[in-house]
Amino acid sequence: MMHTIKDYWQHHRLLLLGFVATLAVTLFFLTRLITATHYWSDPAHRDVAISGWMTPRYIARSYRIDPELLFDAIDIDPAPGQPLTLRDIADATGRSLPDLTAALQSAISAARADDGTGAVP
Amino acid sequence: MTEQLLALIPVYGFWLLLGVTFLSCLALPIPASIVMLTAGGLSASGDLGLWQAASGALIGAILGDQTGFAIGRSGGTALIGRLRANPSRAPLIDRATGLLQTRGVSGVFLSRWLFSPLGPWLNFASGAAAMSWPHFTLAGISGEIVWVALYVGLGFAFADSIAALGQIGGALSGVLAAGVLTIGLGYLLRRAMHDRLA
Repeated sequence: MMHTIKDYWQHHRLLLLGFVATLAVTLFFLTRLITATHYWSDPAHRDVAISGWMTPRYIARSYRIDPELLFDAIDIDPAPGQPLTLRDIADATGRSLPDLTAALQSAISAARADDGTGAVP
Repeated sequence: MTEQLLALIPVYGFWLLLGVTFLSCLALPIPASIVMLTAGGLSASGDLGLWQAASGALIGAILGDQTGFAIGRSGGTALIGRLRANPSRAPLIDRATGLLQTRGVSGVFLSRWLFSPLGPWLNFASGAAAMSWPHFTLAGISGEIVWVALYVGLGFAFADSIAALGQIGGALSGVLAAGVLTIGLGYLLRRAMHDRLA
């Protein structure tokens, strides 16, 4: 075995290095795959953090609740046409993003409490 | 940077997806899979047209593949010639280009979606190894249809778990791409040794 590796090293150094490097990368991604699967299999981790790029409908979809509740919570008319992200809404209404996020989060908690599916952490 | 990119999806839909997949097919570090998953999620919630998202992504990917192939053909052929100049390396290069010419079609097809991190490099290599253009194009387009349908479709169907899909999908395609490369290099290594001893 050692003899073979020495032979490879002498005659095909570049190939051997490439092989070892890709093997290491494979193992790296395998570890990530295992940790990510483990992390996301915990239901407590499934709720995504509300972020400025999201639209109210997208958030409603993520949290599996009625979008109307979210539009009501931040006093916005779900106007047809260009969908607005939370940051757009914050700019247009003069409210801060954390303020909007808090309003949405309490609406989500309320909706879930009604469903009996549990509150948002 | 990803967040800023995601914020542009509801605004620029079609054109944004086109640009993102185009650049990602040229090996630029753009999170195309997350963008496609998110576009699928936005379609499911009614903030983006599904066909708009899918067609933008598909057209961008096809144009990106063609551009990569053209770059490989114009610049890569000379590079291969220079690598072949070294006599100890020539059999290896010949084997690699031979493999591309005989098995290239399935390689191009599978590297669009199953081993997608390898896709851009195979575009350059296919051009450089002078693979038949109609074969490359046919394999490329059918592979990109699978890629786009897979990611936009998964985002649409599982809009409530985009973050999980993105991370698990990213790690999985990393394992597959690096794994197939490891197997390929292992094969070349064995063959190279065999040739030397024979």
